[in-house]
Amino acid sequence: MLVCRSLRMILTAAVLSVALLGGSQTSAIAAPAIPAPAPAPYSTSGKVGLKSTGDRTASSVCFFATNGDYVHRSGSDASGHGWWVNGNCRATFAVVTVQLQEYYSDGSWRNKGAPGRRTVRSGGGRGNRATGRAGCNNSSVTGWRSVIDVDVVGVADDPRKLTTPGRNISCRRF
Amino acid sequence: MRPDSILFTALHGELALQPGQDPHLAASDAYSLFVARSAAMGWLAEAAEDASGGIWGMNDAGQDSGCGSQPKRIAWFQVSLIEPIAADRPLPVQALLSCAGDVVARIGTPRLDAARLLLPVQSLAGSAASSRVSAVMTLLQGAGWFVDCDRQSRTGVDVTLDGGQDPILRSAAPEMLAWIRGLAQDVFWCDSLTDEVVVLEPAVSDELWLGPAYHRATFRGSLAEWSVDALGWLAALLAEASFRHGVTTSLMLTARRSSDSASRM
Repeated sequence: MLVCRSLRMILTAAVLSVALLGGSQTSAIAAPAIPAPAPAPYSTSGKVGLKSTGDRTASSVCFFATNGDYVHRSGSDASGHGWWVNGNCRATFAVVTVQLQEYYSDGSWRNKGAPGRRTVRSGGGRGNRATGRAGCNNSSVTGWRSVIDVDVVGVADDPRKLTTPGRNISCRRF
Repeated sequence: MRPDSILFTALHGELALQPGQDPHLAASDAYSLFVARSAAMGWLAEAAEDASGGIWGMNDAGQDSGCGSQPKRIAWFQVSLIEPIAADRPLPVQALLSCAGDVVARIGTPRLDAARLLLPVQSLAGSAASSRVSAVMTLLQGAGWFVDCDRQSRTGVDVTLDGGQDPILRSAAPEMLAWIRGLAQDVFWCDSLTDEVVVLEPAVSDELWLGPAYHRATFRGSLAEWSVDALGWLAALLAEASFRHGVTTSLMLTARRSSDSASRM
């Protein structure tokens, strides 16, 4: 499924510039109280944090998609999966990294838990997904999302990441 | 703010793998097959902010090699419901079960003995109970799928609905029974309410609903056929009946082919 929102292009030419287009992980600027984990307003959660762009004059391009699922409760953890689907890149493996983020009352998303990182084949099949996890301290409804990075092995790719939509689940981590 | 509405299903029975297939060597698994199938059918919402379409977002799935007591769990699937649910659409549990059935049939040859479904009835609350008549009519239109089922296919079923810590289901059940009996449909003939409870293991995590199991009622009757399609249709109807009679929390549905099924065909 190449035509999708998370489709990426790999430019074999050098990536020239990096521009932060979305506010994927921000810090508190000014808050009247100490920020705390909170439910995420769906209207503002999950902005796609796109970093990139490459050299559009590059002569050689290949395509792949970065995919993930909705962060969800799994046992005593929040959990999210990530994988990649190869379009026409001359590569067998990619390193997929899934970092979970929790929403805070100051509007920021903060990394929680250790990133899940795995070198996997394309397609997201058995054993070919990376999983990010973060333990829940309680079951209060809180906003969560994941940031998924795919680095195709042996191919220079751009630094864009997929940020999944924020979801409110019964898991809070302090 | 309430959490995501979760749809969960588990299929119980037996799954004979395809000859020569080693599940540990297969490139696919229940998760990837479910993603592939639901994407192909237009049911999967991509996990991207600007994605469009789809009725659920993927959470997780797993295949069991016989988990829990008999009938053993063979596979399970969990998704986040994309809301709001339109007033003329029932909960998409028939699609969910159909997709789950396709997945296990891709892995091997299943024999379904029982099923479990988590029904997020609260997601129907976007429309008034009275306005959900059109959703019921959608189900009655869909009942046409079963209209020519062989009478020999009719199968006795026990269906336990459990509201967990919410007591309203228990008191609403008699009115739900009367309401279902009043519908012009032959997919599910509801004979009675019974105190017998259908129990399947392993239990579903309490965090996904108002668990643990407690306030429940069992509907005894017969289905036009014992299939994931018919079970999904019945589950969607019971969700509508529950909402119509005051339930506004997730219900755990557990359905099992009744042991005296043959005598009631």
